[in-house]
Amino acid sequence: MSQETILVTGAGGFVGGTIVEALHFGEEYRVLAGIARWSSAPRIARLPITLVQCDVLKPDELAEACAGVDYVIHCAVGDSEVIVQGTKNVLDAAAKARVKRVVHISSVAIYGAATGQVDEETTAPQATLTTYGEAKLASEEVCRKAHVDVVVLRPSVIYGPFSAVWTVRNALRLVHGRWKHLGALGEGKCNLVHVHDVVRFAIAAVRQAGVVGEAFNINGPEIVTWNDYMERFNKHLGLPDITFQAASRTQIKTGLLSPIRVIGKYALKHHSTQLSWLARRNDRLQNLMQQVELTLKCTPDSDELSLFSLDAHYRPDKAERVFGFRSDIGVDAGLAMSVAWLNHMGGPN
Amino acid sequence: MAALRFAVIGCGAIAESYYLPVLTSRRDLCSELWIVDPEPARLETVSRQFKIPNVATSLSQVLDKIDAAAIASPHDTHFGISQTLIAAAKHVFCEKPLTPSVSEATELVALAEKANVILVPNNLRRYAASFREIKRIISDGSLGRPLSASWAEGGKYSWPTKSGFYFTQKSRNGRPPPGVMLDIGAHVVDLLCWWFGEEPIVLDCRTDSFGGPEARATLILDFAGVRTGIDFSYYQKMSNSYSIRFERGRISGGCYDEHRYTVQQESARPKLVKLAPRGMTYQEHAAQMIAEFVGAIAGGKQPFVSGRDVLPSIQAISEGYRCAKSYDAPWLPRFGK
Repeated sequence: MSQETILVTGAGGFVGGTIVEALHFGEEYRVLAGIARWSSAPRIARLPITLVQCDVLKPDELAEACAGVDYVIHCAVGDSEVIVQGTKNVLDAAAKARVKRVVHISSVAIYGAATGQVDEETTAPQATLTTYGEAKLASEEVCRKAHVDVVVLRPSVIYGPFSAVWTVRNALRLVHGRWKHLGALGEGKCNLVHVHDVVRFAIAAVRQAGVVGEAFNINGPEIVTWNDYMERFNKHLGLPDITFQAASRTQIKTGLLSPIRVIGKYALKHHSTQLSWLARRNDRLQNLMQQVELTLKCTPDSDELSLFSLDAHYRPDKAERVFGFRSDIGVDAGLAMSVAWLNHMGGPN
Repeated sequence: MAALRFAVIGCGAIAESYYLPVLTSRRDLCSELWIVDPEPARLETVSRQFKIPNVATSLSQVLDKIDAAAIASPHDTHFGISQTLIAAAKHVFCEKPLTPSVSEATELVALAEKANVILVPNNLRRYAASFREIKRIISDGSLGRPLSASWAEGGKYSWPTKSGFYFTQKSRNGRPPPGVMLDIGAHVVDLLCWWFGEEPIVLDCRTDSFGGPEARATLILDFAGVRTGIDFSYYQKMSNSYSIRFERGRISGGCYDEHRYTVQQESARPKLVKLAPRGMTYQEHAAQMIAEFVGAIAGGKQPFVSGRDVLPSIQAISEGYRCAKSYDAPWLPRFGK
């Protein structure tokens, strides 16, 4: 029997890149790695696989990429348009190309600020969805109306090698000694799931029986608090103990930096050329800009603070029951792997 | 210095951002300009953008209309294009790396010398004030003999490539196509060869290639006793710094700091040395390099960096690829079926 083909959208990203690697090393499927732009190619181009232009906002590219494909694992992510319209385009192209199944990587962000034991039937309390959560929820709605078989996976906080947010940024905060114990602000449940566990579910979902039309929470085997996670991460990095900071001080700092964050994002988006021109001409300005950037990266924003105190557990029971296996990478094993990778990359910079 | 009739071969990102802004604005360097690219659509876009009426889809169409060419095409085309240009007695300014293969680079240098044409690779880092000063310190021995060195350079890949050629290359001679080590290494290894004045021996080389161009590489070189570790990455920002340990001190700095470095003599406090108020912009570099090239042609002398100068670095990088091994990478998702 000839190998079946899987197209991975967003193949240059954190989850998509890991799926492509796992598919390549697994040797069970032929892989097509879909990328929207060349800047996301380096990680996957090092494998002898086929790269395809696949901007999910370009139906023509999707139609070409889906031709002859058996399954699609849809990992492409971006702003709301990419998440919602991009998913619709992927599903339309997959339906036209008679793809057997699409695995859509959604997120537990669709539950907003729901607390307690959160299963797949839980809905987000009113007005608690982030922009990202809203878009992911809308993308799931698109999946329900699709003319192709779809499985939806809702991973929790995905960490591990290549995670720019939960591995690199947090390591940066710890390495620079900028992270403080958050006290009550950090006692929310940290629903960590290692990227390898997410990838195992995503690949299994392409052929698993009894999953079409269903959504599944994908979570890790161990639920710790955010304070605990950062302390363990700190230990794995071999750093001195984290010091305590009063909750009020953390909140004030986050609040004060909020307008600077907004201005910084705007300036980077619209005036990055002028900023780098200015920085090249003035060492002091360059140093100041670097310090501001580091401070912003190292200080949690208000969305993060909400997350760090959220008392929610995304129950993975349904996925474990239907797929017949569970996530098995514990926090310490996952962090050890993350730190080994970080060291290989020259640390967080 | 008489201005030359130029062709820019290849209309990708480097032509757009580096060569064309200078060649279209400096009439003292370029009296007539042609752009050459096999893609008519790309030619049209660039022709309109820079108001260049002279376009051609092949080199043969412009050979009798130019004095010199800047090669801005994918690196695996550099050899063939340079060969054609030199055979027609045209001067060549070639984007780095001159070629990926040392045998091809050596052949080009010999051909250029025989034809008495100027062959300049775009190894612009040798022009940086800080790196020139470090070369002087190493040569005059004021800090003693260099003992070891390190260089780490990398960032999330963001080059606005039009063709994506680094990621679509085919393997050559049964080996994976080159990646970040050739791309950044063409500058870095050349700089180190120039500083230490030696042809290095490759002690070790690791890459993360599994058949495609690598995105992470480590090259350990020995410059007659100066052990030098070099790290490259396309993944994320590295420390982007270098350090040289001497018998009586240390020099360190940022990879992109062309106008300053830090020196520490014996056990004294480190001192930041500023050589100029600021570093140069990309286009200022281009103007400097092309002016140097045109000046060398006018004066009939070898330029500051010639094709022959970069042969040791091409040799070291080629040898690195030849003996490259894989990293021990326990984080790879090898859980199979």
